Amino acid sequence: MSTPSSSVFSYRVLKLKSSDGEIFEVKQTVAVQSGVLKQMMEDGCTEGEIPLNNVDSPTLAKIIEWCNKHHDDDVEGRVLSQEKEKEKEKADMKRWESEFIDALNRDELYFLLIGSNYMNIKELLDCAAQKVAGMVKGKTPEAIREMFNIQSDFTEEEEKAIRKENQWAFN
Amino acid sequence: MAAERINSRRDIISSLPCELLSYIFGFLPFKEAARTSILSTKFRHIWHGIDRIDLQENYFIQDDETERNKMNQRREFINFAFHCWSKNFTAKTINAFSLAFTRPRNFYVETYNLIRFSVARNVKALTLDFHNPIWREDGLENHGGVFDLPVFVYSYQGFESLKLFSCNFLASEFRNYTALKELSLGWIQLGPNSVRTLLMYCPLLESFSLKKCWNIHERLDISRPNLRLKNLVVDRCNFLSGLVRIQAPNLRFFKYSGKVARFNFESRLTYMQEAELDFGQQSEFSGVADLLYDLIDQLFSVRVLTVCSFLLQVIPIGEEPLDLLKTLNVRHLTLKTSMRSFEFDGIIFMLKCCPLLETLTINNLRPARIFPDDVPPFELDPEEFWTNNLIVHRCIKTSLKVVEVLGFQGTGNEILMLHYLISFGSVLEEVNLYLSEEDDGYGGNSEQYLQIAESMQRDIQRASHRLRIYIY
Repeated sequence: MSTPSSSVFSYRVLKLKSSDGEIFEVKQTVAVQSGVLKQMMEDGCTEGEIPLNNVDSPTLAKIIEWCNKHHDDDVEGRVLSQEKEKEKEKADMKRWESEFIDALNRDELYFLLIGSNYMNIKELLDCAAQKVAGMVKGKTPEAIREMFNIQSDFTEEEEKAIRKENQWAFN
Repeated sequence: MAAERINSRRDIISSLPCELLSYIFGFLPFKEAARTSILSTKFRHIWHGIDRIDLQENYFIQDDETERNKMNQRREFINFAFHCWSKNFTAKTINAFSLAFTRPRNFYVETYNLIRFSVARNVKALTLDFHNPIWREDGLENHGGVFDLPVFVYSYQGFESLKLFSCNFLASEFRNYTALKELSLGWIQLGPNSVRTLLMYCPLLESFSLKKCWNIHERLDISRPNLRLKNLVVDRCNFLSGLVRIQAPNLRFFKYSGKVARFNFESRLTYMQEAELDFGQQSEFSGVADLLYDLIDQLFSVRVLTVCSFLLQVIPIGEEPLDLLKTLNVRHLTLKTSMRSFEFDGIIFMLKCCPLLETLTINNLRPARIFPDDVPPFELDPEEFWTNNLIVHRCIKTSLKVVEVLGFQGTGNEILMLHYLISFGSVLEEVNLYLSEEDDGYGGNSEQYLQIAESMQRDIQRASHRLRIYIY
């Protein structure tokens, strides 16, 4: 059973304004996944357009797609006997998440990291961060520089000194 | 500042804020994360901001060193942890802190202060692993704690996860740990009523793991009304034998490794998803088959089940209960087996019990272990067994889609069983053969295994036209 207090807000809509000026309408029950928006709702300052200066419209569209997928209208209403279905849903969700993240190109991933961090959406941030960590994992420093186009600005001596200082990590 | 899209080849990682980079590198193994210090100036100190810390003396210790040099390397390790890492640490809080160190008593002040450092930064997940890796997991020796959990730790309330290995603690002081969701204890003697006390003080506990824990005066009793426990692992523990009592109605995952006992699950395990059973520690053969039936019967709802060679050898001996066959819901069955003829009856028995089976994994264990140790097993003629008058059980005809063989060596017995599964498996879609990398001791090696696998891939008669055989 959903509680009366939550249903008051269920169908209210927030207007989110991306950095390039596009307006996205999002149900409050969906927006609550963002720590920042949740805080604003609790403080009662969600009237009008909410500017999200760090999130452009393609990224915001992605973020909202994620949140819509992860939002559950009636979490409280589920009875325990549906536990097994929930387990299956969880597995399906995991698959959806990895497909969602894998389909992004580097730029999209970058903006999604910035956006989910800015809007404080932990699950999405974790998912994107793990994706990048997975790209780095097991690679030599040289390979990581190559992959992300990182220019080393250390002199040879400096690099040697850092290696020596953290010798244990390079064993 | 508005983020802008730039079309040039982006150095995506460097332009992220430092905090976010630390967060990302927190998903790397700690040692790898430390290596990012060398990428460029920007990355020099990113790893000092990581809030999941995993400090292991192994980073510093070379296995082939003399004990004296190892002691020096341990000193280097603890100096690094205490003087370098903690002094440079930049994050405000610590999410997870893990310390693996075999000589905490020799470096008491440093160890104490590292724990203090993590608690002062509101650590949520603390792991203190003081056990010595040379202690044998399959040995019968009981090991104890080598360090006492510092008293100040008991007054901290922020733990969500606590793992203590070879670290003495007082269960009666756990009353502040009401937020604890995960508790792992290992290599320790548990005091009287410890388990009961822990369960009482930690009502939110979802994962509970006991490894090499012992208390020879008490039975293992993991029960309390309304326990939330979802995951339970009991790994080679040594308690008063005979009975294991578990009352955890929400249990989903159960792993047990140790001696056979009478398992008493005092609530119906409706949500059980997965069970892993290993009785490799059991030496006594007689009278245990019925206990195993009884256990499997109670695990009726699991979808994923792993059983060991001991079970396969013992279970055909018992008086088979009539109603067992209807009850198992297993979709994925893993058999830890050496594929010897004295396990075949057990394998067939398990196939019979799992009418809904979709995936069968054969995890080859070598060398074979025969139970009981002192009596030569009754060896069947494998060819006779797998080809003559063998009943084809329901799962093979209607549900079995995937067969996996781990450590495939192409032995006669492996081939006979695969032949049986493939020639009757009318809905089979995939057979995956993962070649063994070990020599078989009779001149066989991975090249030869590959040849056998390929000839099977080519020639074997199959009941399912959709079947594909893959070799890895």
